Formats: sequence, C-alpha cells, structure tokens
Amino acid sequence: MSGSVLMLDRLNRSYGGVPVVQDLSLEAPGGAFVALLGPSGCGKTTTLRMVAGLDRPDSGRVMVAGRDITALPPHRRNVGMVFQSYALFPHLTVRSNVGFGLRMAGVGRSERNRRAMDALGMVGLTDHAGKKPRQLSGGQQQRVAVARALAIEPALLLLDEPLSALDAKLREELRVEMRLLQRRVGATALFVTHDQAEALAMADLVAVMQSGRIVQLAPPEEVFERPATAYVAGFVGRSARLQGTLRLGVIEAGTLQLRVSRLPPGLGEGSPAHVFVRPHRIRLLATGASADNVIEGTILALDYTGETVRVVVGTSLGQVPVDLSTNDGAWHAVRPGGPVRLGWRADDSLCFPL
Amino acid sequence: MLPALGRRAAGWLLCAPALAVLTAAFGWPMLLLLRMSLNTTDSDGVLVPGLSMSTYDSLATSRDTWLLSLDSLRLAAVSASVALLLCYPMALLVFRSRSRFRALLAIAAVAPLLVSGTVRVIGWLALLGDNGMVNSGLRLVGLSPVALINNWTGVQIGLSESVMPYTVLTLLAGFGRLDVRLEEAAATLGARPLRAFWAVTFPLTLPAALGAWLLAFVLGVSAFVTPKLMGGGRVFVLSTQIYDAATQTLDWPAASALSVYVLLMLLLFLLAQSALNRLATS
Repeated sequence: MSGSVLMLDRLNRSYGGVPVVQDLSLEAPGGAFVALLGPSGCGKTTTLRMVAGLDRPDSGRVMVAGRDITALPPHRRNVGMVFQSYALFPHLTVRSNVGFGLRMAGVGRSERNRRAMDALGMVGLTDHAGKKPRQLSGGQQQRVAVARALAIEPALLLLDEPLSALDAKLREELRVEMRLLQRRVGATALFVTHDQAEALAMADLVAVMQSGRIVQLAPPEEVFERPATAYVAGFVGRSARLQGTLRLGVIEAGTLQLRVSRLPPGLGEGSPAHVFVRPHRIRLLATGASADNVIEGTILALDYTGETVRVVVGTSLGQVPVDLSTNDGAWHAVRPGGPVRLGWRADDSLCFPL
Repeated sequence: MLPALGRRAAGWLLCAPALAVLTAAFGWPMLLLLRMSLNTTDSDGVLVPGLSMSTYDSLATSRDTWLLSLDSLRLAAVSASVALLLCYPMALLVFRSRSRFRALLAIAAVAPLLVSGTVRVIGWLALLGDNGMVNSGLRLVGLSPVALINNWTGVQIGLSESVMPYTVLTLLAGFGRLDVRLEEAAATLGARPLRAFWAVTFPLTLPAALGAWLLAFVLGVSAFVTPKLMGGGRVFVLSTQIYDAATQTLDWPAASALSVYVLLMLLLFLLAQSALNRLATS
C-alpha cells in the first residue's frame, strides 16, 4: 500500500499539431481507485491508452511501481485493461477469454483453467464458463472483461468507460460490485468516465480534466464541496449559477449582495465573479425567516424524482434549481407560479473569478 | 396499394422484374443447354436430335475428361491460393487503415475490374512475352530468358492476378467482425503482435478467407479468356475444351454436356462451403 503505484510525469500528446494531453502529471497510491473525469475530447481516454502502451506520449514518463515503462510495448506492461466495448474475443469461450492472458504467459492448461475459473468466480460467472461472449448479457460481458483483466494479476487495472454501455440501474449495481472487487484484489485502478456521479461514487481520487490537463485532483468530497475552478464546479454536480461583481467583500449581483465566506485569491475589487450554489444547499424560507443570502422568485417547474423534488425558481438573477427533500410533506405546499423566498449560507456560496 | 396486397404478394411483385429477366436471359438458355446435351453426334459430326445420355457416358468414360478436370481444378486452386496469399495482407492493411487515403487504397485494389479481362491479359502478354519487360530485364543482366507465356506458368500468373480483385472485395466484406480493439486487448494481455495475430485476427478472418478462396476458385475453374489467350493454344482446361467443342469441332452436344458437368461440379463445391460455414458458426 505504501508509495505510488502509478505515476504520470508531465505527459504530452498531440495529434496533427493539436494538443490532446498537456503536461499531465498524476500520482496514484497503491490500491487507490482513481477516476479520470471529463467531457469527451478532454484527453482522458488518450491518457489511459498511454498508460496501457496503446498510445505513445510525445514527451513525459509513465511509471508503474517505480519502473519507467514509457518505452515498453503494451504486451510487456502487465497492465489489465477493460475496454468500453469490452473487446471480448468472439471466437473463444468465456473461460478461454479469461485465460487468454495466462495462455500468452505460457501457463499450462490445467493451471490456466483453474485460475480462469477463480477469476470468473470473483465476478460470479462460473456457470457461464463454456459459453461464447455473444450468449451473455451486456452486464455479464462487462464482468467477463473485468475478470479477464484481473486474471493476469496486473500491476494496474485500467478501465475505459466500463459501465457506459449498460442501462442505468445495472450501472449503479455494478458500480458497487466493481468497487468491492477492486478492494478485494487490492489492485490499483485508473478509470475513465464522463459520468460525474460514477466518478464520485466509485473513486478514491477524482482527476477532473479539461482540454488535456488535470484541473483538480482530489477526493470526491473535495471535488464536489470545494471545486478548484468554475469549470469543475460546473462539471461536477448541478448548481445555481449567479453572476456579479466583487464590491467591498460581497458579490454585487443586480440589486442583491451575495455573501461568500471564501473569496478566491487574486479576485480584485470590481472584478466580475461567478457564484455557484448547490441545489440541495438552498432552502425555502418561511415568512419572516432569514439567511445569509436571500433571493425572491417564482416557482417555474417541479420535477418529482422520488427522494427529492427538483424545483426551478425564476429570479431576477436567472433560474435557480432547488432540491427539496420528500422526507416531510412540506413540498406539497409548493405550487408552480407561486412566490417563494430562497436562502442559503455564505459557506455554501462557491465563488470563482469569471 | 401495397398493404392491400399483403406482404408476401408484394414481395413477389417486387421481385418480378428481376425474375423475368433472369428467366429469359439465364433460365431459358440453361434449359436449352440441358436439352442440347441430350442430343448426340454421329460419326460424321452430324447432330442427331434425341434424348440420350450417350454424350455423358462417353464423357464419363473418357480419360481426357478426368485429366482436363484435374488440370482445371489444380489451376484454379493454385490461382485462388496465390491470390489469397497476396490479397490477405493487402485487405488487412486497407481494412485497418485509418488514413484518409483508405478509400483510395480500396479503389486501387479493385481498379483492375474497371479494365476488360482481355485488355489485362494483353497487358500481361506485353510484360511476360519473349521480348516483354521481364525477359528484356533478364537479358539485360545477362540471364537467359524464360518462357512465361503460351504455357501453364503464364496462365497461372494471369489467372492469379485476374481473380485478385474479387478476393480483396470478398475479404474486405468478410472482415466485418474484426475490431482493432481485439488486438489491443490481446496486447494488454501480454500477446506479442505476431501472437495476437494468430490467436485473434487469424481465426476471426478465417471464414472470410475461406469464402474468398472459394469464390476465386470457382472463378478460376470457369475462367476462359486467360487460359485461352495466355495459354496460346497449348494449355487445355475445361473451359477451353467447351469453347473448342462449340466453335471448332462444332460438337454442340459434347460442349453442352461438358458445361453441365462443370456447372454441377461448382455447385457441389458451393454446397460444401455453405455446409462448412454452418458447421463453423454453430
């Protein structure tokens, strides 16, 4: 567990003069589950492919367990990879798929079959060992792909959008299952996703990427609660976004003064600023109640999702999303078109330079 | 209008024009061919109408038929194999190319189809003839020239080339199941490139390769222009024999019977292939 298993050192990669990955550095401690999170085209898959050796960096180093593997071809890296499309060999049985890496390593048939069955056991698919991949459901194929990658006992497990091809409910089940599995085998894992909920739910460390760079590398809670930039705040989780100008320690927005408890360093008097507020931090204020920040508006829409009701409130500063818990019946009083007062704490205002 | 007819009737109706053309231009001549093969020729070479199997009998008992068949099959098999060996790497390259010239590559591979088979053969004659490029080159470096036309070697070279475009097309169409990710997955699992090829790429492309080989083989057995022109009258195969019987000795029943024989043989190969395919996919 000690030391970093994966270290990326100032990786650069460009295609036809267009930089895709820029000065990307990252350290993952042993046993950690690290998410590369970002929109499509941000360079996260290219980064993963450079770790696997399927793509070469123009400059920079890839270190695994203290060894520089930048120049090694993929077949000499001992890195397990789960592809987005799973890339199971269609002509081989599930057992042969899982045992493929061992076969390449020259492990004898009986030993190979035993270890392949062990790996299949970890994902609960021993009953399907004799089937061809196409006879399995999407979720089962995904688990075979994971078992195949784990069977070679890799130094590092790489996952490229491993759950994106599955339906929402299965995706949430497999999130938990994969997390447990990764903990059990103790593998260090790097996975790529564009789904911020997936990254927050599964990862120990989230690396938020923007245009080929990591803009924040932190545990999920920190990424969500203290996003490093307006981009991170906007990409991870939903927010009310308000715009104003810094005047005497508060953000002046229209006729309102927004209180924030932490001002970003370097934001000068009179500079324009963004204020983000998470929907679940905004409360409906009863008549006479007050808060650090108060804004009045009209209910535009209600969206009942089960655990919460998502309310959209139209205000003088634009639309503000508010999440109300359905734990009590209070939300029943909220009606579209009705006037409403919203409040939140200064601590919950996330302020960024514009 | 169509819904009122019902799906089945609509289907037949849509096929009707093509069926009509096929019946008139293919079905009817085939029937005529079959009918002609049942006539006989007397010793003076006069056509005797009738319903007799005697032409087939003499074909089946003639040693020449078997020798011709063997030569034809061997020629076609070697041509198909040479074409497959040359086309497989090329098709793989075109299929996997992500270059913007990919379409151009694919077109280049099948471009020979745009030129008439006769013209291509004449091109080969110019290259392989006694004063052609190859032999001139050999003479230039002080080597003695080799006979590359008007013999089996020439026909073999010409036929291999003439079936190549079809081979490339069939391979490209059959590579559908191939996915670069599979080779990448094999690499991450420790497979060297050559090992990944044999363990993954090759088995997945095998059905396409077999299909391409068979198509080239069938085309090779029925090829006429190349054996006729490049063989210079010294290479005899089933197709040239049919042509000679029909136009030189004017023995139409024999030509017809031999045609039917070739047709049945090729049909047998096609049936064998589809049976093999079913076996492989089950």
